[in-house]
Amino acid sequence: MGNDVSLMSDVRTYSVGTMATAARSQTLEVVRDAHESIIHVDRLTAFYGNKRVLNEVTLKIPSNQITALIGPSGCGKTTLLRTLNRMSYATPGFRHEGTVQILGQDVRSLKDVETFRRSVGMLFQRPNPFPMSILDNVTLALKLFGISKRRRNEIAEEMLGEVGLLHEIKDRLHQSPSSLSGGQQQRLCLARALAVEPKILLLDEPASALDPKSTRLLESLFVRLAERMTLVLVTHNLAQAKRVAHHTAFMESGELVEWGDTAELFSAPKDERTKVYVEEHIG
Amino acid sequence: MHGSTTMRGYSRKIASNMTWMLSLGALLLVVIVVLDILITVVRQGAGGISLSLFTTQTTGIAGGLQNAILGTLDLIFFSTLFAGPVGIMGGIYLAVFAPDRIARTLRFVAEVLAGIPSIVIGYFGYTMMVQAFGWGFSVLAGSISLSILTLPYIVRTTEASIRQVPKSYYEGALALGLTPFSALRTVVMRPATPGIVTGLLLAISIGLGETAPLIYTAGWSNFNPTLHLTKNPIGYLTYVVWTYLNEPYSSAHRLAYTAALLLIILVVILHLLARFLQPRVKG
Ligand SMILES: Nc1ncnc2c1ncn2[C@@H]1O[C@H](COP(=O)(O)OP(=O)(O)O)[C@@H](O)[C@H]1O
Ligand SMILES: [Mg+2]
Repeated sequence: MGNDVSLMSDVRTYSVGTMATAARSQTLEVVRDAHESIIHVDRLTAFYGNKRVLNEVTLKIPSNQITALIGPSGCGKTTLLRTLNRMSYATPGFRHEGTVQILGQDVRSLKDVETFRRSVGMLFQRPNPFPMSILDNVTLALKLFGISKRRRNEIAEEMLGEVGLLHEIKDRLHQSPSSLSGGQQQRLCLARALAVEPKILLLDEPASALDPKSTRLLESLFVRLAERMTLVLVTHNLAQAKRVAHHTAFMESGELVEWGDTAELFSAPKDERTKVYVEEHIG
Repeated sequence: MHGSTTMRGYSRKIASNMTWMLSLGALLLVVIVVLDILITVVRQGAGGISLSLFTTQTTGIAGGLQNAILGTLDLIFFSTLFAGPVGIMGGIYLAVFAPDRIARTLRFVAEVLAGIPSIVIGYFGYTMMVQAFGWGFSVLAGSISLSILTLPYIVRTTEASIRQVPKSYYEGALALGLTPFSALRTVVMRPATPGIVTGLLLAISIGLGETAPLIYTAGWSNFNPTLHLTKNPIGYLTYVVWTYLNEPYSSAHRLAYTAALLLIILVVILHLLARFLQPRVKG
């Protein structure tokens, strides 16, 4: 069962930058600690019109860790990610079979999509700051949720500080984000997502348009965030998966080929397809 | 080989020169015709512009144009009231929500509607609203006929304006937990509004110049518009242009040219406004 999840990793220490997280030995079938799985994808098959783009994907994503989704372009990473927060439903012609359970809820039959989406944040491949001031970008959602202006500004300051933007752009809060660099824009989008206190962050190649320095900065933020939330990181950059992800899933033509501890998947892939892909793309 | 290429290059050059000259000729022709119309209208109509034109109503084939000016504004007001919201909502639906097949069907319907000769819309309005509904010649019948005419333009320009706004704004807002309505209102409509208003103004100027749908539905009145939506015929500027030019009296001609001049001035103002609102292309 190549698609099935059975994770058996050794106790090892994770360190990125100044961060160090212990990824504990675990078997997902026997969940017993803080890393119990928070996202269950069960035989997910998805279509755009008549075109099948995901085929019986089964995957469990542990909480408070980073899970990377890797695989060749067009293999369905984005579609899988966007199904997790129902964003793919916004694409006319999209439909799926199988179930996605997040935070104990079946994504298909959510009663309150908006509340659900607040707990599942998302970063897009290209930074997408809204056409309004930097501050308004962070406070927009809070304002609509009825939070007082004072509190909104406090939260904005805190989140901009968290992503390291506050001191860089302190005097530009009321300006348009278009003057920011790509990396700063993406961090602004991260601050915007964090402001509504998500439990899960979905990241769709968030650094693919950024320079190496901005990429590293973003990665260190992800690692820090994993202490308090679950991150799913789609990336075409295998080195990035290696640097930050506790677990990695390899996809190819709509199928989840292999899934496991990051170090293991790269050093001792079980499936021949994974092996070929990793060998071709690493180094 | 070499010879044939240069031959082809040579003949292409001639063809391109000829195309260029033909285009220039056509352009000159258009400019001359437009100038001729403008000069005629201004020369014959400008003399008629006076205060009493705006303060007195038409009597027979003389008098002022107050009734026609107010009637035109009345018709424009109601047709915009009907076609504006429907057209804008239709455009939003097409741009954001409509599944492909429904969108294609609706676009086809809009194209067909835009292609119907305006006299046919007038005749339809006559049999349907004036007769069958028993509204008589009226503001209601006239303005609804005008709105049928302008609706496709409004739908089209709204859809185009919204499609120019990056989809990632909308999705980014949804991902924060905003409702589709809030997302549209806060991050999509704001940048799309100048384009939508421009379309609306151009639609109004199209309605402004129409006579055919109105002669069968609005009728004509020598008196100022009343507050009654039905059973009361109403005057409008294009009627004056259309009818009074056929009268054998110079006072009638004078009035017709003055009405034409007023229409041209209104249309120019609308186009200037539209130009002013046109979203600036970012360099
Ligand atoms: N809106 C869409 N309509 C139709 N096909 C799509 C759409 N989006 C993606 N696809 C197709 O689905 C497949 C998976 O795409 P995607 O999930 O974007 O892959 P990845 O993110 O791994 O590059 C591709 O073959 C792509 O062409
Ligand atoms: Mg993708």
